[in-house]
Amino acid sequence: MTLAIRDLTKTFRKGGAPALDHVNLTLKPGIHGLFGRNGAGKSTLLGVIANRLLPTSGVVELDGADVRDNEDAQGRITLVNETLPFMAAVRTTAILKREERYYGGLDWAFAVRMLTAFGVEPGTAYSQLSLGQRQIVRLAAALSVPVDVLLLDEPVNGLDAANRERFYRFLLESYGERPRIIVVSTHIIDEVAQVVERAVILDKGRIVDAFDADSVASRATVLVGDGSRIRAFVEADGLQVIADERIGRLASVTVRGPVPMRDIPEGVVASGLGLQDYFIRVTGVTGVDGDAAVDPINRDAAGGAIGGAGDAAVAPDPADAVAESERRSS
Amino acid sequence: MHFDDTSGEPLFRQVANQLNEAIIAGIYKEGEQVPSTTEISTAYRINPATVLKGMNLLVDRGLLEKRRGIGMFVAAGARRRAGDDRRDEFLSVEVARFVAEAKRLGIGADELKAIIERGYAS
Repeated sequence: MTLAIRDLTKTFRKGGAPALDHVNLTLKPGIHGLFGRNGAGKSTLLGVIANRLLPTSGVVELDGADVRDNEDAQGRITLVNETLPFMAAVRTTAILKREERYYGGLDWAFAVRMLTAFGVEPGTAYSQLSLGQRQIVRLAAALSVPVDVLLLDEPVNGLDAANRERFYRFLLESYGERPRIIVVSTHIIDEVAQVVERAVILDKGRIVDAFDADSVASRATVLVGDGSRIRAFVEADGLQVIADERIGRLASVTVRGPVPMRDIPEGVVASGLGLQDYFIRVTGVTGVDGDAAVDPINRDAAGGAIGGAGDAAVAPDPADAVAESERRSS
Repeated sequence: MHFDDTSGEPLFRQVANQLNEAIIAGIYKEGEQVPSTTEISTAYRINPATVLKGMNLLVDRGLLEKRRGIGMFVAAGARRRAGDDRRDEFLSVEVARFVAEAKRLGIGADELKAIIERGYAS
């Protein structure tokens, strides 16, 4: 079971910036987190995989077969996103039956148990449900059909905190019973940091990083301490700076990758980052130059020289998509 | 069990440590089955691959045994070995870190010794 996205580009307007820019990604069974800022291209990517949008170029293959206008492949892929189909008068059970017919099966026991857990009576008319409950119906259907690729575009939108937690449990249970390719896009990264196995970060239509979620602490290291001491260390070791924040002489510099403990200079504290903090630093606008420019106190002391380290960090490296994105955003 | 994704400790290690503690505490007795990956995964909302990775650490250390098609069981002699492992870790890692921090703060060996002795006496 392999979903391969090859050199996928999607442009909505001729001459406009591409929503997806030469995306390459291979997904195996597992729960994948798709993270990106507003407008990064997450929904477009999921829409193209589900054949709701046509790519400008590139191809999506499920086990080697192009999914585009391919009914067999589309019967193995389901997408839940914000578009709410018009079915106000229909009963919840009728919606599940329709999904059962389309996808050739439905785990009724699971669907009913999930709906009940969320307080949705299976026989209720869809129109009588709240927005959050409608989302639950769609999610319960999507988790219960026998597809190989499950795409959930902001699945917890409109769900309260307790229901979000409950949903993650059902998602994990469903995956545990039937491992398949699941992609979850969400802005509430902290909540899914332990739920997802892989993390994919999309920025301005490009994949800037993809990694095992439990290895996030070694993707970057935050060095906190005296600015000039950190600067000297970063330069001497040729470390790649991702983010640089300063309060007077105290600097908090984020560099790519793990830094061996024995290398850390005295008086400097090093730590890893959680998934959400790493995401913010990789996709945020707090670039090296920007921070140096807004630091009125320390401009002369350390600003210019740290800027120098920053330039080194964003030196052209075609093999590194992140460096590429850094260059474009700075 | 409690899991913290900001502690810097990889999650699969936290899973292994928590199971290790549960074995030491006798919550899971030797010869008994431990919860399945799916059970732990859904109860704590942790990806099953991460849970399995943590459990496999304990399999490698001989604390858990896989029984094909049934699940994971606490191995014979696991409680004592889990305690020994924890003791070794405390002595080699935590005490070393503790001493390094004391040095950094300019606390001498005698001063530290006195504090430790006071702690034992109370």
